[in-house]
Order: sequence, then C-alpha cells, then structure tokens
Amino acid sequence: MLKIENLCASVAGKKILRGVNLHVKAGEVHAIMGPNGAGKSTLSNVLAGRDAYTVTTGTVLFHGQDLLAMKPEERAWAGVFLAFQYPVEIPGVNNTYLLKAALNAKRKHQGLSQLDAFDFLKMVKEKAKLVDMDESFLSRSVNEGFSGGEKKRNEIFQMAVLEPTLALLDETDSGLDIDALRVVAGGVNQFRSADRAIVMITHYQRLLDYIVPDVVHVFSDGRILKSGDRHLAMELEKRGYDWVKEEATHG
Amino acid sequence: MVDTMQTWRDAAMATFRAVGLPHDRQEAWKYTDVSAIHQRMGADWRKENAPAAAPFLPEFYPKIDGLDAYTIIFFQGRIHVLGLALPAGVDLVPWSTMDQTTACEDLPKVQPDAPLFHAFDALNAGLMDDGVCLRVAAGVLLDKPLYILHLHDDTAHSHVRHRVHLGESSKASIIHHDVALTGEHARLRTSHYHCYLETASTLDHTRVQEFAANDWHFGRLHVEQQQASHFDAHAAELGGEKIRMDICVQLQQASAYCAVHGLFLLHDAQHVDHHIHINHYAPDCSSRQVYRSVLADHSHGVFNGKVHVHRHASGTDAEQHSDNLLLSKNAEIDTKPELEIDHDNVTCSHGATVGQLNADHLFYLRSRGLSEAMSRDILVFAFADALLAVLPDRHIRRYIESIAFNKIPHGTDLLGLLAK
Repeated sequence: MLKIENLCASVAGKKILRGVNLHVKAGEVHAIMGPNGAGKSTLSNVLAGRDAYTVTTGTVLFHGQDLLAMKPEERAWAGVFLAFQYPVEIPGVNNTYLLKAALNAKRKHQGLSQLDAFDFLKMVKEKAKLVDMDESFLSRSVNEGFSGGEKKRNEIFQMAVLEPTLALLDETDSGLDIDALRVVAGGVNQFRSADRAIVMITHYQRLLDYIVPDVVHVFSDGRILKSGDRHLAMELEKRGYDWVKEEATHG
Repeated sequence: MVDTMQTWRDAAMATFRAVGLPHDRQEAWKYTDVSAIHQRMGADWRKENAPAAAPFLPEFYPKIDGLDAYTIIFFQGRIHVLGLALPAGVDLVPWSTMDQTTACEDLPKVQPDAPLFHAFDALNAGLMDDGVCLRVAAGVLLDKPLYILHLHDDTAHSHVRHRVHLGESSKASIIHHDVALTGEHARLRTSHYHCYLETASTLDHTRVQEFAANDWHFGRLHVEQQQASHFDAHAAELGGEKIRMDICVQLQQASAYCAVHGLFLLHDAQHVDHHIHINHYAPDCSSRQVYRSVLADHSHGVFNGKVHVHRHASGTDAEQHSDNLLLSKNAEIDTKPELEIDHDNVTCSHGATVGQLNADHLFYLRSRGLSEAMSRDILVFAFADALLAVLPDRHIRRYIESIAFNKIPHGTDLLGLLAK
C-alpha cells in the first residue's frame, strides 16, 4: 500500500529526514518509536503534504501512485488521513459540517452524488458513539474549547467518519488519561481491517498494549534504525534508545 | 410668513460652508480623501433635492427572509410607507408630516463642538430629505425590531436625519438597511442618528449597508447615555465606494454600557473608514469596540477607535479589538486604537491584529479533503461570521451571510459549514 524509498526532507534548510525506507501492506499496523526530535512528526507531515517541508530526494508510492506529487486534499481523497499531534482550533467552522463537506468533496472527485443529509447525520452519530464522544461536540466549532484529550478523541472520530485506507496517528496517545486512551484505542481497533493500514507514532509502549502492532520501528536521526515485532517495543521500554543507536553505528 | 424650516436649513448650510470640507492635514481625515467629491459626485451635490413628485415605491427590492419587524420604507431619503400599528407608548413621526416649528425644535441639532464633527454632518442637516422622530415611553418594551429600509436609486443624492429617544427602562431594536437599486451615476448619501437613552433603557442599532459600487456615504451615529443604559451598535459594511462613519458615544451617567461592532467585507477599490469616540464621563461605565475586516483586491479599511476616560470616571472598563484579514498584497488597513485617560482606577485594553489566513488552519482543512479554494473561503467567512454571530436578529445574520457568500463561487456550499 505504502512504499517509502530513501526519503530525505528538510525544513528551512535543515535536514530532518535522512533516508527513510518503509513498506506498509494493507491490513498492517506499524508503530514508529524514537526519541524527541528524531523527525517522526516530520515524516507524518510530509506524507500528509504540509508544504513547510521540502522533499530533497526519495519517493513515496501510495497504491502505486506518486504521493508526493499530490496536493493535501488529493491525498485525503486517495485515502490518507493524518491524526494531528496538535489539532488546531478553528473558531466558526462547524465540526460536523466540515466532515460533510470533506466527504462530499471526495465523492465529487470520485464522480459520486452528494450525501443524503439524514443518512450522514445518522452515520456521524454512530461514529461518535464509537469513541464515546458526546453529541454536543458535533455541533461545536472544530476543536474550539476542547481539552487536549477531547481534541485527540475528535481526530479519531474524524478518522472513523472519513474512513481512510491509510491512517497516520501522530502521538494520538499523548495528553490522554488511561480511560480516554482505552476508548480511543478501541476506536482505532474497530477501524482496523484487511484493506486498511495504520502507522502510529508514539513515545510510549503503553499505547501498544491496546493497539497491538505488527511491526515496530525505531526512528532516530531522521531514519529507521531498527525494525522488529512488538517485543522490540518492550525491549525499548526496558533499555531506552541508546543501544539501538550504538548497534546502528557499530553493527 | 417666515419659513422656519428654510431658516433652519440655511443655518446648517452656513455652518457647512464655514467649516469647510475635511482635508488630509486633519488627523481624523488622514486616510479618507474627499477632495475628488466635485468630480465624482457631479455638480449638484450641495443642492437640495426638489420636493418629491407623487410618492411611488419601486416594485422590487430585497426582502429579509423570516424577519418579523415593524417596517418603514424610505425611498430616496423620503418616507413612503407608513401605516404601522405600533404598540402603545411608541411614537414615530416623520419630519415631513410635522408642523415646521415642532420639527425644527425636535430635529437633531448641528453640534460643531461634538467629537468628530465635520462639514458633512451640517450638510446632512441642510439638505435633509426626511427622517423620523422615534419616542419610546418609559417602561415600554418594543416587542419586534423597527426595520427602517432605505432604498436609493441613482437619480438623486439622499440625506436622512433620525432622532431616537428611549424613556426610562424602555427597550427598542432598530435595523437600518441601506440598499441601492441602481448605480450607474455616483451619488452622495448621508445619514445621521441622534439617540438619547434614559436611565436603564436598552437600544440595539444594526446597520446593514449595501450602497452602489460608486456611491459615497458620510454617516454619523451620536449617542447619549444615562444611568445603567445599554447600547449595542452593529454595522456591516458591504457596498459603496467611499464610506465614512463617525460614531460618538457619551456615557454621561454611572454604570452605562455600550458596545460598538463593525464588520467590513471589502473588495475592488472600496474604502471604509470608521472613527469612534467614546467619552467615559461617569463612574463604572463599560465600553466595547469590536471590529473585523476582510479586505480583498485594492480595498482599504480604516479603524480609529478612541476612548477618553474623564476625571470622574473611576471603575471604567474599556476594551478595543480590531482584527483584520488581508487577502491581497494590495489591500490596506489602518487601525489605531486610542486611549486618553484622566483617572487611575480604570481597566482599559486594546489589541489589533493584521494578518493573512493561518497556514495551520488551511493545512488542517485541506488534509481533511477540502480543496484549497474552499478552505480559504470557509476560513475567511468563519472569521467574519464571529461578528455576525452576535447580531441580535438571526434573520439579519443569515441575510448578510447570503449576500457575502453570493459573491464567491460555491458560496452556498459554505453556508452550512459555519457554526450555528
């Protein structure tokens, strides 16, 4: 589904990604772990199309298409979704109608008719239940006045409504207490299916207790240093990241 | 017999000539150049309109869906439809139907000493076509807004002068709507409101301006407030070529409150200038100025909001906000909140922002699948809508939104996107 080859990117002349290679197949869940400042969020932002980053070399294919040549909205239509690390508040823009407009834009692109308002609302209410989100949040402005945890919950709710095939979860677990984490993880697990893939960025092994990954990657200095199964995450929790760096330098 | 009204008009015109046209060496007129008035408004702009022929109203004019109000219609500055069943205690009389002596006594005086006074206010008095004198008796609460529709066409200039007097603990809401039906010839429009709020009375004043693309307008809103009275002003500047509003609020007794809101949605070479002067004369009064502008193309906005806290005005609470969105590198905003404080125990704050659309907001919406154009439009209108959301009447809000949205492609798609 997703093939990243030797991806290098910089922001304001500073190199952040230094040759990322990553293959993700449909049905898989990948966890990317690593120290602060390693470039994990840059990777997710580059994949979603934020124009503050310049891709210097490398390719990204999504279902065989050149993802880097697409605008952010085209990536969304193709099935990419980024759950933001810091979701922005957008006063005045209605949370639910944003999703309706987003779905209709995608349907228009696919040559489909516009959504029926009644069916849409019914679907939205079901998805809100999935992440235990109060219905009052549906009619509020996007993230305005939401707590940190509510914003993260809203991201997963949006993902559930938009039904992407590739979900990039950027530290979705940070700022969540243990109960909220369980609920949000439940929403993500319901989303898992044979034709979808998830790439989640996290600092903590804790999230992986709830969303069990197929592959764990250690990300440091702008690239993937080591990959393994979920046991790698447990080892990282015990031993930290330094041994992986040493292994990469000397091994 | 002495024509008292003519004498009154002549005195106003004498003031107009004595004061002279504003010019750019005056601080309050630094950004609004009126020197081209003779070329733009034609030779006759200082002349009184001939008396109206048989009254007629144009067949088609915009209606505000759902608005439930007492409606008065002016055409070319002259009142045309009246026959209102107003509640007891509400008295509304056009100057044109009064005897001259009463009219001259009740008409808002020309006040050369008032803050922000300028020649066009004297001109408005001198050339006045008509206007109303509205009195609401003590304790009367007007159950519906008073909707004063001012229709204009390009055959003549127009000048209206209104007076509003609210008795103690009374309440009223006025919607002033200017609509130009034709706009081939540039015309001069002036308007004047003199509002007096007795103790504990409440007035809402909403002004929606849709002049023609080459019209000029000079307007004045003068408000005097007694104890614990409450005044809210809203303005939506949508049309016109050169628009100047002077808003003066005199907080004369304790615990009065006023809030002045303004929204500019400008394009092409439109120029809108609001000058505000709020005098805090008494203790524990609050004032708010909340302005937003969205400026496209070569448009130019001016916000100059002054708060003057006088010697006895302890416990003053004043806020000024001016937030501006520039959609083009050729658009310009001159924003200047001013404070003059003669007392220590006051809370005054002001803030002005000028910017483009927030890149993080744009990326967020696009990442959800909204096109770039749609994301831009929705952010612009969400920014503007913050000021429409505080309008006292939601039908007016929907009307202004639809006017604004109609100017852009897929505007109707956006309507549903705004928070309710």
